[in-house]
Amino acid sequence: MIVLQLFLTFAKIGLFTFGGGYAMIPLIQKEIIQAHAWLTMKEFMDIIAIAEMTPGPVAVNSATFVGYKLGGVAGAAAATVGVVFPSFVIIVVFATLFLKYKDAPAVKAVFKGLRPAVTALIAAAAISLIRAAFVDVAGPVIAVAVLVGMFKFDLNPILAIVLAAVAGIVIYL
Amino acid sequence: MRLLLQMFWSFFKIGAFTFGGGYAMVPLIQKEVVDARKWVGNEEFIDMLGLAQTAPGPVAVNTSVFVGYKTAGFVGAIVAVLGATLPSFLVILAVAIFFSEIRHLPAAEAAFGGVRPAVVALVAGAAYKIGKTAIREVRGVILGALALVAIAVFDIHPIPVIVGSAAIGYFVFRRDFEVEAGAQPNAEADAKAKANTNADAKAQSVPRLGPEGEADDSPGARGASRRGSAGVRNEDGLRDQDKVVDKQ
Repeated sequence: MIVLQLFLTFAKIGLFTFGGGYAMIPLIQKEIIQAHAWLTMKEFMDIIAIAEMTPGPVAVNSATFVGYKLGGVAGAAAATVGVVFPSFVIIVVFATLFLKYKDAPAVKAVFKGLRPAVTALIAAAAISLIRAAFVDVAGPVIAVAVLVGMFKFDLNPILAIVLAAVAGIVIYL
Repeated sequence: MRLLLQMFWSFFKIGAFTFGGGYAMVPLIQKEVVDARKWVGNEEFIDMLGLAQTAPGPVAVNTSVFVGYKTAGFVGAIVAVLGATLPSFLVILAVAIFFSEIRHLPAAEAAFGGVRPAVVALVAGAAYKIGKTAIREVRGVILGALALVAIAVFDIHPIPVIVGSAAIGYFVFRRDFEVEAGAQPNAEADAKAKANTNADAKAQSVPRLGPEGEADDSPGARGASRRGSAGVRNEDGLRDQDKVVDKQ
């Protein structure tokens, strides 16, 4: 029963979270901490901290963690599938329509207007990450090194992350 | 089957190395899906990101579903989203099981001190690469600048910014594509298109709200005067502008 409840609750969170990432935190708070009292505020803060340190979207991480705490591995699976399910359905519909109509002049025009905004969104994401990332002089140095590697030597992003992790251990440990 | 396995592995790698949420996944998907595998084109990738942002759910999940669906249909979408979410599922499961021991691991914290600035650089690099494809002319530069100001300065939510830019795109660029789609655009049709584009732009600048609204007059007027004075065909005009932007 808890498994079904987890699926439905996280499907609701997935459905109403626009913009991803931290946009869903207030919603999780309301559903998980206040409505169901499945977690305390302190446990939730710990999950956010862990989500920042582990790969993957915060939304998925929170779902897996809460699901496991309440229903073991089955609960974790139900909550994770639940949080992904609404976007899966919606994106499949979007993709079908997009692939069908992408050559229409009106659709082409819409996407030509949308593309500069997507660029701006990603640039803004880089800017907003700077504050947490650049705590001392090593931050900008690592960032410049990665940019040079990316554009001069076609450095693979995964290798860049691994090398930066090693650099972090050497510098900060 | 081979394609599905490849796709699962690609998205598994992407999922396993996305730290910092959301857009941190963009450079990885770009490298793996656009550059290495060529499953989607440059422009298509940007369009997917735009759609992924307007649908609910994590951008990373949405993008993986989109790429999977486009490349290998419904099964492809399931395989891609499984690949993208499985690493974090497994890691969080492990963390949940050994929670107390892992919370303050100095080595992990030190490693993240190095990873965070790298992610800034990767996302900035992705923005640059995307911008090269997305912004090909002056009107695009103006749209992008307005969107950046809206998001970074006025803290406007991404969805109204994307929807607003799409609406502006519809009114500013539609005639260009309609002319392009027409078999043989003669001078008269061209002149009509010019007049209509201009009229559309003017008509639309009234009801739209926010800083995006300003985009209408300048690009519309620019486009009209460019086409009017030079008398060149549309695409040539665009290509000339491309060069100017590239030099900048």
